[in-house]
Amino acid sequence: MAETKETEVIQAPKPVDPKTVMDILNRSLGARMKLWLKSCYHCGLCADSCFFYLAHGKDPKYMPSYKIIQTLGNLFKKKGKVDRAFLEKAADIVWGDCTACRRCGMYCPFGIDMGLMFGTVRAVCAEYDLSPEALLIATKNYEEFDNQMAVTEEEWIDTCQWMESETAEELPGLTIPMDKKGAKILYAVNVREAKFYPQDIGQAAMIFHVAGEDWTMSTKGWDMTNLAMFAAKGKVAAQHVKSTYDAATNLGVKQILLSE
Amino acid sequence: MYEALRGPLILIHWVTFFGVSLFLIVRFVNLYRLSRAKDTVLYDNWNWKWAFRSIIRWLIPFGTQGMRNHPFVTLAYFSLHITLIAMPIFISSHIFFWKQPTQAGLWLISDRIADIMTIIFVASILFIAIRRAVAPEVRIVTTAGDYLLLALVAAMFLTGYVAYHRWVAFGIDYKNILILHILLGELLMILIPFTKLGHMILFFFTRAIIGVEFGARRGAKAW
Repeated sequence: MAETKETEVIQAPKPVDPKTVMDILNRSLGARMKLWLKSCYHCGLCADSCFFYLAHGKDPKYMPSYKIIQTLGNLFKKKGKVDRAFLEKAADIVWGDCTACRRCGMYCPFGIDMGLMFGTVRAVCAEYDLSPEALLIATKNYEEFDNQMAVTEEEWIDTCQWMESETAEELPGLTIPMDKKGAKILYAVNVREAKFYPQDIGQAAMIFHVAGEDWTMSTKGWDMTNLAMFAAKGKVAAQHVKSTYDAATNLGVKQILLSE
Repeated sequence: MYEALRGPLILIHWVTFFGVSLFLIVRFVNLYRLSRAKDTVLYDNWNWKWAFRSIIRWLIPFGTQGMRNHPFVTLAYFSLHITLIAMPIFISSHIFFWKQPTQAGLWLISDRIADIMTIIFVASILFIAIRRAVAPEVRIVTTAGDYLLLALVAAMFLTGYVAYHRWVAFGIDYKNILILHILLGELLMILIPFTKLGHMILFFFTRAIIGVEFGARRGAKAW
């Protein structure tokens, strides 16, 4: 199996270009973002909403608005003229000290949606490959294999056929249709099922068979996970969603069903 | 001096008032255009009910979980805002703004209640300033500007109080204090679009936006 090694992902760091940084920031600088950047009255009421703040013995460095000021606030203030060390520290904050759960936005008297603001900082860091390493590896796999675990199309088809023959012993007549045009449902799975838990695919097939559903698997866009989104690699994330959508349109299905 | 300045002060007031209003309207139109172009997710999910629920909830004392978690902070901020909004409108010395054009009788705050409100106002602004200096999670995000705005608002309030009671403070005649009071008011009005005072307008927009985002899109309450 051609799995991507860490060394292939971590390339020589490219220098931080203020224009690129500002382009990413300006992309999300709509009216909402402008209002949010202006609205913080420094009241400190968001602190209690953050479990990072609570879990660190109420260390003020972990309160949401401070984290935003340190990262997004400074990026705008310095007009993108920051060095790599700044972005490395920012990446530690936006991935290490924040899960983007958006709870702070519910406790802010002005309703500043800080989760989305952290997402913007993540996009800037991701541009310089500062996302968590595991997510970068997954992103590379999406680009190359269109799934996060580097499963080839051959292996995928093979797994489905294997599960078909094994499950058909229990339920005679069971099939796992592949690229069946005009089926009602396209079933997309978590790549983990193909790689580690193929029985899950067999069991789903049993349910479809017994329920008498008109369904199909696809040779393209069958992985429903999207770790590229968590890595803030927007282009790859969008491309991956599109591959599933394109598969559905090409097959002419009515619904896309995603596994857990 | 006050009598001589009265005319120019009134002129300054109306110029400031219409200037700031015009500025705010232009800015609103620009932001609205920008939001139409870039915040399409907002209009795709727009819902008046959730927008108003989100605004009204946060205007009710102890209406939200965050407020209930911090009862003293809630009390201080509501006292500050209620006195700050009610006093200028209903106090007897200001009433000529309303009475002259309409000749209608208006409910006034009695002097006794006005004095009590002043005490509440001073206490709440002191609490907020001390909290800024003492509580670590507030101190870390507090800037000099935050204190300056509190000081300006307090100064406007206190000069008004001194002028109303016709005190001679530090050898300065109350009429000169009154001029200072009026100029401070104009200054604060000018500062609305440029400082955190803007929250008196932005509050309603940001609250509506988060109300729609959490309510209309997810069925969750943002309070």
